[in-house]
Amino acid sequence: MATSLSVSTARHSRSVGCGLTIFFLLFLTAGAVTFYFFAILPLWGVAAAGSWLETPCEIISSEVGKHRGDDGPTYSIDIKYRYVVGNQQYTADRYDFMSGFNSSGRTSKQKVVDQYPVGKTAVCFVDPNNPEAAVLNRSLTWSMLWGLFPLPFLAVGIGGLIYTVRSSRNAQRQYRSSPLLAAANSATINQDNSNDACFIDSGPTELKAQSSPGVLFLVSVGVATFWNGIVSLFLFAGDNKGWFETLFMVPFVLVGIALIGWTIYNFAAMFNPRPKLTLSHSSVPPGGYVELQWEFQGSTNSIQRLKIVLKAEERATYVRGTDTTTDIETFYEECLLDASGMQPEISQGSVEFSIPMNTMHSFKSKNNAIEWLIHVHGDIPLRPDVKMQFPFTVRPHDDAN
Amino acid sequence: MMQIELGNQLAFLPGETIDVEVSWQLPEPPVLVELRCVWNTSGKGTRDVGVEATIPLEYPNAFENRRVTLTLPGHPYSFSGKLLSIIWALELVALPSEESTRTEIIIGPGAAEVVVSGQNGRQDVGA
Repeated sequence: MATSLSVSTARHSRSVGCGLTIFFLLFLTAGAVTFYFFAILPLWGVAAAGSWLETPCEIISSEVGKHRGDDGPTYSIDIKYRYVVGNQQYTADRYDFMSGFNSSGRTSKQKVVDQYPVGKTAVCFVDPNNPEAAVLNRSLTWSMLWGLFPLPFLAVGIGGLIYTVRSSRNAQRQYRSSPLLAAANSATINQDNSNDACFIDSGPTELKAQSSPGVLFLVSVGVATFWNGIVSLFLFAGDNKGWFETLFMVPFVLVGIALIGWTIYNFAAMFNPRPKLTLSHSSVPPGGYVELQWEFQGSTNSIQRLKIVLKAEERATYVRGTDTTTDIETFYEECLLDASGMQPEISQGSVEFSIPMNTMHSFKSKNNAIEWLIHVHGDIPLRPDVKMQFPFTVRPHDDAN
Repeated sequence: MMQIELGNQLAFLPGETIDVEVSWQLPEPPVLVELRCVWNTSGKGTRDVGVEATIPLEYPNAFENRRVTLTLPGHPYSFSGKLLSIIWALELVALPSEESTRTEIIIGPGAAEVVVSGQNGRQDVGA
């Protein structure tokens, strides 16, 4: 197969591309600025203060500052202290390297303030090169976890910009290569020879599952950790939450719980017996016969019913707003096996089947596909079922006359 | 003006060799004229296009008729489904002006498009 191009209308593509660039640039800028102030500066301060000089100081004022915020009051640690360096007296008000960022929790700040009553002699750390710079607490603090908050924004911004730039480059390349289509469309270009390679029959072949339970488990762990990590930042950041804040967080917490449930489900699915499928030919033409052999790795005693189904699907991927969606439509379905109970063919067996004569061969382009696959479904009571799909190749007719 | 003539036949077998009459009348001689055999998808998914064959027609005059012999690709078949259609076409393009014309054809088994209904187990072959 020769060159393959992916096309969408030019004006729409350009305006969407420009809009997306601005959108992702805003994300990147907001993420980068916030990350600099919430993460880089505090961590830099902690690292630099490691070599600052321990110096006695006297607390001259100590209180929890209260500030008006959009979602209720926020609080800060307001401690002033004085110290002497080289016969000169200095005054400073920095407690730690997150000073200046107010948040909604009062109790934790009150505890800190209580440790530094007015008149107490404490220890502060002074920059020997700039005695005006001092800090009471030069350690890493829990509040520095706020520095992780901008990371999703940075990731969305960087990932989105890479995607937009790649799409734009591909569109320019297509414009040069297909003027007729470019007159009405802009597009991305890719060299796709995968169909040709798959159409060669190289004899018996073991089919690969579309997704494995282990990968699904890792994905669910990642998604659940990310979601619940972000939600917990908001959940545990302050101590005095109003009813509105609590109510607002409920759906987010429920989604987090559902994600944990999904992760547990995927974990349990990892211990299911796994089917190994082998076809007598790596590709089969319409009208051709092929033998399918299956064998389960692990005990199949828990499987009460096994269904093996031959399917052909149309797959169409499209972009709506910022979401990419794939629709699937089954246009052929044939049950190859339906066994229940303790029948021996559940653990292993074989079946011969044919591909209909007047059907479509496998096809794959960037956004569209015709996929032939074998669906294995094993019913297991009180545990996740075995559900796996194994794509295989239907090649064009050997003689299409 | 540019034209692609295929006679009365617009449906062909995969891999079939066909004769194509192409003609053009342009204000000035183009640098190059290309006859391309392309497919594109249409339907719910973002459109994909494949350029399967490009035949350069060199040293073109401003007014000209030429006969081109072309072997059609073996796949993908012309296809019509519920979400996706695959459409074949011949394109004649003058460069650098990019003036062009396009004629849609069918490439499939029995010189017919493969049609599926989108319902389980049902599918037909239609011309």
